[in-house]
Amino acid sequence: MMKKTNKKAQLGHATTWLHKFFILVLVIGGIIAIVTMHYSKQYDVRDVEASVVARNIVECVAPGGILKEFNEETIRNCFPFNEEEIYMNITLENDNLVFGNDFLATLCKAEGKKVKVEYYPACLEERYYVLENDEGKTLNLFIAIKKIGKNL
Amino acid sequence: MQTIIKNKKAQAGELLQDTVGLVIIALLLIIFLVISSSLWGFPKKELETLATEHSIHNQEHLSLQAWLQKSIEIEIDGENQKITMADLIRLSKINPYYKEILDQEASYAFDIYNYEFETSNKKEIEMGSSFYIPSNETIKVNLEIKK
Repeated sequence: MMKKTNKKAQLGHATTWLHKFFILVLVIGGIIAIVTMHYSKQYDVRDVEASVVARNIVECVAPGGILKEFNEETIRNCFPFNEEEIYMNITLENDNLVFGNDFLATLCKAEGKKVKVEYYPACLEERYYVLENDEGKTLNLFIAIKKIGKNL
Repeated sequence: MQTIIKNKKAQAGELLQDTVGLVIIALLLIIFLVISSSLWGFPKKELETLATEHSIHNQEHLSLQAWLQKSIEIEIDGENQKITMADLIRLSKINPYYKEILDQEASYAFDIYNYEFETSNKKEIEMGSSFYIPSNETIKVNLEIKK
């Protein structure tokens, strides 16, 4: 009789211990899950990157707002870029310079029309007032950045 | 026999207590997750705001910088003189006649961009892009996208 009672007590003790162990696992697991969720989020920095690229183009073509040189070579010497990952359309009045993958521009238009695509590129449109021979002109920029595997 | 029954009840009570504790812990974890997400979370939204602000500031700043260097020929003391927009702003603070010319020039340059141009004597930094014009008094020019 005595032995039987001891066995039951041991069983009960083991059950309680297992329950407490489960709580411990849940608490530690929960903390790890929350921390992982916060720190493993992928940040899409392509919009900021597009803005920085735009600034670089303007500073290169028109430093201080005064137009210096508007040609393909100036832009290419300005900063390195991967033509597969970027699309740049730079327009000054009637002059137009185009670089990179023009399919990205199509994807940007698709985004505007709310066509469902798995990954959109980051699209940016900007307008600058610049001076050319003391005359005010508008510099239009359209930039699209893919970089899905890198900056998204 | 009596002792065994009491032990069973005690064990059941302890199990119930632990279960309630477990539910409370799980709820607390969820609450902390929601609070921390709303306080420091939603980085996507913040990055979008940062990119938009950066882009707007770039356009305002560089456009205003360019315009301030633009030359204009106006009549000063009976003589036609070529001065920059920055000089015209200084003149407009002395003579209201030049203020009209300044407003016209600013409107001609920035209306198509939907920018609002203003000059002020305030030192405080406001929204938009500002430049200080060297002068005896504080002259600040501000360009901001119209809301």
